[in-house]
Amino acid sequence: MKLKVKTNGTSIARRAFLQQAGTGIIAAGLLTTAACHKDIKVIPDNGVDLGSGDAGILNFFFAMEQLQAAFFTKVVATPYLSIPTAELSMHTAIRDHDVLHKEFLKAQLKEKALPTLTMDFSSVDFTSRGSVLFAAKAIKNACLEGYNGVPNLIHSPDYLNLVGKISSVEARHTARISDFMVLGTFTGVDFVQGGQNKTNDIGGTLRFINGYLNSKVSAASFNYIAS
Amino acid sequence: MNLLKIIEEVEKVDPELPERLNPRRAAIKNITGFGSKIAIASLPLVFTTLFKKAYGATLPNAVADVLNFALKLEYLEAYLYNQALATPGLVVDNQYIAFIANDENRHVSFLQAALGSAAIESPRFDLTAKGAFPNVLKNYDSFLAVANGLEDTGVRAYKGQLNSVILSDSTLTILTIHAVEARHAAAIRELRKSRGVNIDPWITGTATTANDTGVAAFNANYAGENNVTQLGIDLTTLPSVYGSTTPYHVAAEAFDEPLDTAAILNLLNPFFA
Repeated sequence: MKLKVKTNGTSIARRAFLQQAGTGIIAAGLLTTAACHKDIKVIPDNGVDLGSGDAGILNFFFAMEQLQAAFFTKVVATPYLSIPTAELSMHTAIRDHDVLHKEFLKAQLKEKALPTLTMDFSSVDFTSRGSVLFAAKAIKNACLEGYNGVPNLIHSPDYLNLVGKISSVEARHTARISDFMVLGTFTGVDFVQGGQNKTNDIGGTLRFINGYLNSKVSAASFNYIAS
Repeated sequence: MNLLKIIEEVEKVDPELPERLNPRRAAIKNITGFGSKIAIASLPLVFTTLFKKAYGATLPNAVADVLNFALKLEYLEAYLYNQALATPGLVVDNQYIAFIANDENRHVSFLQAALGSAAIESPRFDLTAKGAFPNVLKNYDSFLAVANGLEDTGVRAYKGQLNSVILSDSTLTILTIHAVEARHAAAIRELRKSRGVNIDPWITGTATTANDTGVAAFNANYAGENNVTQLGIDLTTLPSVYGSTTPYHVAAEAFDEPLDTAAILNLLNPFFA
């Protein structure tokens, strides 16, 4: 977690600071300690929190869709060398679907929506087909596993329905990407076991997603703090 | 994992659940305690074990009905692929079809195990659907067309069970199988595309067309798949990379739609001998 520490700003009373931390900014242990020092203003420049309850879960989806939309937007904007038409149209369609998922969740969440997350794709070589497909598959599978892991946390039947409506489209995406990498691997032992797709919890999924984010996402009410 | 919430949901269907679980309360509390340490992938099995213990050999009718509904569907899908693989010279892409057959057979075993003695026997099937698909086991493209329709229908069927109160105990299982069915559907669609059919891995649509498979006999299986309104929001009014609105086909593709039990059984009926 990156922290910007200013020594010349106005200090924030500990209580007020912690309240602020609770409403949207996550303070790891380090941050709380730092806040105890007078005359040191700590401005965390990353570490937004999902919030709690169903809205928190929708924000979890929103974070996943922000990452996917940004990734495929970049793939289409800077396609790898000699990209086959079939692969470019796949990336384009996936981009369009994920941008819509993102916009829809933003519209649902209204004022509760997470801010726009900033990406760090420095681990991906967008000129390399192998690097792009590897990351595309990893991101898609992580998000599908994330969707699959939340149903028992959701209270609203509408949102549970939503998980079904979106997750099967994500499964179609990842199956197609996998097959471009190695023919016949739309269901492979690395992500389907015993005929069932793997699942992951919110913390595990965010840990993965945060690897592609400048602005980290935490989920205090789901027992995960970005580090 | 909020196991207590799940138990609470099942109590709505079966008020006697707490008594059934009582002798094992301590064990259940332990499960919630070390929940974070259990491999998440194994949770469906934990649920199965837990509920079998709670109910002994018999599941309550409501739970059994839904699991048996899923089993009926899986029997049909497994039968389709097993028969195709057993028909000499029919299947061209053996690797694909064998993978899918393997998954479907596992789904059958998994659901049978969860149901125990309540599991239904496999019905007898007519893969031609009373003559609608006479070449299903004679022509590879016909077989793929039927597989296409049944896989997409399977995805809708599982989606339709997510919100059933009785399944709150197994939504996780339903979702994990659902995702695999969607992978199959995408793969079958891709195989068809490679053989000249104008189709994509996802279901597209227009304001007037919901069935994109080119197989008119499946029109009812895709009814409503071209829906573009989600939770009161018209998706086409949202911004996209193309401007302030979203093209209709993108909105139709980005969300798959559920179908309820009655609708699914009605659609599958012709496949039962």
